[in-house]
Amino acid sequence: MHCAASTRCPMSTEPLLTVANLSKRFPVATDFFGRPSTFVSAVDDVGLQVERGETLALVGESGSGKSTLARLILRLIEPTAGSVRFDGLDVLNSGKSQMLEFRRKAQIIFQDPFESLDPRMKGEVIVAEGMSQVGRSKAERKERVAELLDLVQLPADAAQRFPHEFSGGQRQRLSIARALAVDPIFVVADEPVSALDVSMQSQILNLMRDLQDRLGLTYLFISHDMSVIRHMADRVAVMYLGRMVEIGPAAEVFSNPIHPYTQALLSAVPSLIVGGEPPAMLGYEAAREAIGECSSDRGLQPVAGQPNHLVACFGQDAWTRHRGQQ
Amino acid sequence: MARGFWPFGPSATTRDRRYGATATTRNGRHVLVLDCGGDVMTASGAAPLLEVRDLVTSIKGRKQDLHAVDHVSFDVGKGEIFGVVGESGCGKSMTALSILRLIPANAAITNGSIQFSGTDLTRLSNGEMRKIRGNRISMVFQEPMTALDPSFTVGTQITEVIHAHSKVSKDEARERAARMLDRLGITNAASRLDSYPHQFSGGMRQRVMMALALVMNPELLIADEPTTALDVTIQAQILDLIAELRRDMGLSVLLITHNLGVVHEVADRVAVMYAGEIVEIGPVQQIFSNPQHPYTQGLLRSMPYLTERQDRLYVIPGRVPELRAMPTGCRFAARCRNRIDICTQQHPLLEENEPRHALRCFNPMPYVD
Repeated sequence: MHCAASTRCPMSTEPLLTVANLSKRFPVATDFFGRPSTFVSAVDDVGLQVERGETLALVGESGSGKSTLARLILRLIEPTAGSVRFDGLDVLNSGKSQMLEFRRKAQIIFQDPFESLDPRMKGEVIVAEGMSQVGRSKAERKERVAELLDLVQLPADAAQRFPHEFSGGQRQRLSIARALAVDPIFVVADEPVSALDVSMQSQILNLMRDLQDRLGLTYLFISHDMSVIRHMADRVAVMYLGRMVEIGPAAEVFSNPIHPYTQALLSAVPSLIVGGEPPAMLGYEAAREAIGECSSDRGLQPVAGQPNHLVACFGQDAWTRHRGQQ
Repeated sequence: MARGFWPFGPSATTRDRRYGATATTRNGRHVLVLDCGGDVMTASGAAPLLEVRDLVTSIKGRKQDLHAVDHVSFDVGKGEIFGVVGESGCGKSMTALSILRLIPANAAITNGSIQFSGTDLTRLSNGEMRKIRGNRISMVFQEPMTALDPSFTVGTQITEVIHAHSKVSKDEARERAARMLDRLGITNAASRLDSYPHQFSGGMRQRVMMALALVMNPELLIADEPTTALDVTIQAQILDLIAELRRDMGLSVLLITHNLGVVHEVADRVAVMYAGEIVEIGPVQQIFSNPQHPYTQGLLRSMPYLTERQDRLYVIPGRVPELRAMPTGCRFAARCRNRIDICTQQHPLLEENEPRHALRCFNPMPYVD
């Protein structure tokens, strides 16, 4: 999705985040000399843009590459190819001081609040840890911790408690406070509610929407739960086997899913399109063939009448039929 | 063969004739509520395979014993899928572990009975219990990665179960294990017996877990969050599998989950647990279309829709009371929007309000979404 090549380029201001041709290959086997010989493409030639203040949701099964994509964007892992532009910064070619600024602006909330918090740190230490890196004094930090705990609706005594003394929902609030401590403008939320009970889930989702309104945050929201996505997303990007197969405004993707994989996710029926076996077990080429992905790479194409709704080519026949309706 | 799950099971009269009257009737209904310390709710039109009565499982505390499971009663009919839903800490997993007598060392069953086709499981010796566990009642755990031993092949782990419960040759056990894997939709079953758990994906591992649980052809399968760690699409496959096994093998299933969608998908009846107690129990259709207990209503209301974007999700105010500080009145009263005076003073009993549907509430209100 190159800006120059498409009509979907935002009119005036530059998007907060622009990802182009991003790929990551992991070695899965080595040859006799220990050199990597086989690779798996966890993320394969992905491009996307995120506008300021919006929520882009990434959806797909495990192994679809959505978490890897998020980590690549945050440069927590180095990509094999591609570029990431964030707020005027070329993230992948930035020096130390620029990266520090990037880390302040872009934060992440992890899935499992039981594993992402250090069990030996008190609440205030967890929340304040990042702030010392951006040069805040001790007194400032203390004051800010109190503010943040209040912001995520935790009691003030949470500062003196250890992670095991919190419930799952409260821990996730603590992770949110930790992420917000350095005043980020962009937050990646990697399955933030999938480890939580229904009642906790609604609280955290409400909180995240409130915080977005109050602080003008931009979210990259990852989930495999379609109804959670529906609630959070302005736009939805569907990933399948490392590629983006459909992206568009949430209302359009949900009411008019075009790609068979998106349709399968929404219908909540078993994904029989790949024969019941998880795609990774089949080998990527076979799985892609199973859903009839085109051999010639044509990139994402706009859906008829919905210029912001793009879909990957999926099988010559179905594709021709779809184009024929235009 | 008549499948004994609601609503296709034999009528109350034929059941009574065939299996001996398992319960007396009250008010001419074949659902009855007995008040004997706790509350009893026998159930559907199916002959119960499992009857849990007044079960109390306590955890030893420093000052007092804490009731993790508090006077819980329910039935699971033959061929029935019975769901138990509730949030973490509501006692649903403890109920399952009590049935298999796998509760932690600091806990004990202090009251009630667990009748499993005529045998009270609470009275069996450890040796007798071992013969039932994995054989007539088996369990599937949440995390297929941690529940399987990473250092043994899948074949070794399955045949171990077979050898523990029957005298068969090694070859025969292997063959049975392969047949089971094949039955559960694992291709090349015979060769995959020699694979280690890490060589399977999450969904396949959960199938291996189910093979392990089903290889002795149990009458009752207890599935504790069987799909929680899995993807949506794989989740749907496992649920289909459970429904299929019930259909083909007449398996009874006790399905424990916090996911209301899962229960709605496969279960016949459901019990909603809150703070160690059952607060509402009944056929799935009734509970989902017309939930009566404010807690059940709150749970349903707080789920986001797939079809439209809401401004805010409903949130049940407050939090679950702690085990050591249970209120004397209704345990949900502090968070309830229908609270009246009596709620904080008296403890409500589980009483039926329509056939097969009971709830623990003084002031139920119609459900408005």
